[in-house]
Amino acid sequence: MRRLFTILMALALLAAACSDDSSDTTTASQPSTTAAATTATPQATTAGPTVAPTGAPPSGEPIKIGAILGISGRFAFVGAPQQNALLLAQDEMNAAGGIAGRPVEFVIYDDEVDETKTVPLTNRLIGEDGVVAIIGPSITIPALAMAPIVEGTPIPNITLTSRPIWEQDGLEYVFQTTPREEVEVLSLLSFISNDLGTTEIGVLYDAQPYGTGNLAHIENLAPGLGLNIVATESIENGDTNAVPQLERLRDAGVETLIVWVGDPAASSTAKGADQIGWDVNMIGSSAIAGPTFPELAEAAGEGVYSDGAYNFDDPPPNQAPFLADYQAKFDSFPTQFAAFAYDAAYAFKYAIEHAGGDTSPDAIRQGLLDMPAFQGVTALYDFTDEDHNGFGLNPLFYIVQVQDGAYRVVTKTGS
Amino acid sequence: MSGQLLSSGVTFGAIYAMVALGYHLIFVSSGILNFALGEQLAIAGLIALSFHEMGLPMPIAILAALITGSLVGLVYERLALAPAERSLPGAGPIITSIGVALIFTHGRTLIWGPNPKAFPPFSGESNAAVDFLGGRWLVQSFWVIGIVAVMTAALLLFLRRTYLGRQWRAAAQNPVGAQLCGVNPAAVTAGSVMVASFLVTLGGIAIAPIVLAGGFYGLTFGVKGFVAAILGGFESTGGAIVGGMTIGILESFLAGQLSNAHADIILFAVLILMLIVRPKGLIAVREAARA
Repeated sequence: MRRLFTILMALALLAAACSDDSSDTTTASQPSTTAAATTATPQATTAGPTVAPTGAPPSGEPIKIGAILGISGRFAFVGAPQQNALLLAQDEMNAAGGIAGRPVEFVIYDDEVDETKTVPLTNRLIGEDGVVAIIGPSITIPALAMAPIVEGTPIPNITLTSRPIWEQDGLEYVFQTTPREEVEVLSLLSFISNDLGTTEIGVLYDAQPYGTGNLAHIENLAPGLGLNIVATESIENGDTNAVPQLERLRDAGVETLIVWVGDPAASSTAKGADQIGWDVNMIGSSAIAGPTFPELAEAAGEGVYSDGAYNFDDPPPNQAPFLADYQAKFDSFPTQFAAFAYDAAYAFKYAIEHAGGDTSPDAIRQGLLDMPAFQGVTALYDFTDEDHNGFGLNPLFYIVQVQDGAYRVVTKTGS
Repeated sequence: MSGQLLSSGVTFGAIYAMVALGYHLIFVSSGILNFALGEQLAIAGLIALSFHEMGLPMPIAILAALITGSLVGLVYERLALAPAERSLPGAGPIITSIGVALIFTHGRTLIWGPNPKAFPPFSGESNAAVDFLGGRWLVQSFWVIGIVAVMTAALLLFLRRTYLGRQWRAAAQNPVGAQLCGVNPAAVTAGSVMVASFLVTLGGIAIAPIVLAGGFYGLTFGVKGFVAAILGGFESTGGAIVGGMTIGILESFLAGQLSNAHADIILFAVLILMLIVRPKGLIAVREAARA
């Protein structure tokens, strides 16, 4: 009887542990940045509108910019590269005169994509650390938890989520440097309709908001492009067996399969299709547009399409230095998640400089809106009152395909 | 049920069975529930890959990973589970093992980073498959099934036919009596956690070519292995295998008909039902009669 009790108790504990994906983490969050870097390596960064690197070392009180990212836990693949990107931006900026002549310090916290941690960390950034602006969070739900605080304080915030949360309640202080969900959906669907020439599509989507949100956009936009959704299936990001879903999608007559989920689920999907001998056009979201997917999917990944802002074959001047410097510093490839954070850092730099070094919330906000458009790694950003995302619905996107184990550009969409 | 669904059901079922064996082994010899096993399984492939990257040939790297995995089990049993059992018998080690699991989950991203890694299959090309029972079966699946079968047989022989194995069972059934006969319960517990760690490390390496090394599947395998152990009967070695296979095949079948999310709901409903109607598992009665 005592054993049965023990087992039941264990189950109760497990149920508690499983009730929330992100609650399996209890480590205390620690600030992870350092004071201004001193290494003076001149960097060719993205050219900004008002930036005039003097070469003079920054001086005075550092400008502190906060960041809350999902650096550990299930979404570490999103947040960890973003942290790296901010550390890179910090070094570059301080080597090139700081922000408006003052050194910059990014105060970075890890919320583990747990909104119960996001809220106190936001208050800590504002109340204790005295940051003038906040970058992040990486994922939508923590960003929704943060929004009322930043809007109410107020403090300027650039989120790195694909959902435009600034739009929902007309938030004034919340901006976004990531492509909106519809942007990517439109890019992929146009490619399927124009270049692949198939009409019967299936969707295998992440059961979390990342997938469900985009499925809704696919369902909205597909009919207008002459595409017919014949079957949809869900999968969890951590799932490693997609064979049951693939069999149903195949039996429904799918010609082109959109796989809207990150790895390992995406690579498992490619392997599953290969295993059951289903030769289908497979196209993934930008979550798999990096070296990880071809590496994990191995031979099964050949021919899979993805999309994103990077031109892998011939990086233009706004991408080449970032790609090279990041890899030199961290010995890993910067996913596009990293580029979003990097662009956010520079957006704040240019906004503060446009405001003449004024770091009050309204000055920074007005700086973002008033400064000339700037070319980031991801896109050309032009923030306006109507568009806190800064690059509309049809930016330049590249369609890439795995060929001989690496992504190659096959075409581009948008302008 | 298509042969395809059977292939994934049996493969994953075998791994659930391996984890269930781990729970079972520790439970029958010490009465302790150890929830760190799933996470140990998730890092097993990463450990082997690290040894391989150091220059060891893969078979030797796997052997080194098995030894490391077993020693990790021994260390946390001595440092965490044993003291917890002394201060709060029953519940103490359960809570502690969940803590150990969290340390594995987070610690491994510090060592190996957040991304899972590809793992070469034991034989042939990556993702190589053959036609079998009306489906395409990965060659690696046969390795998984074979390894689990051999380990089960070895464990049965050990527990039933060896002196040490009998000591372990005696220590669980009657700690005081066993102690009077010269059995050291602390050594039994430590040994059982070590062997269970060996089993899940082996299971983790065997499944890594199919599910990648170091994915965030520790909780999944840990929980489903636990359900398998409950279903089969916590005190039955054969039950762990029956439970694991049942869960694996049932899950694959349900996922083929409904969706993954629905399959999990039904699976856990079955678990609750089992706990109510047959708390000692499907084949506990037969075992009890034999004991």
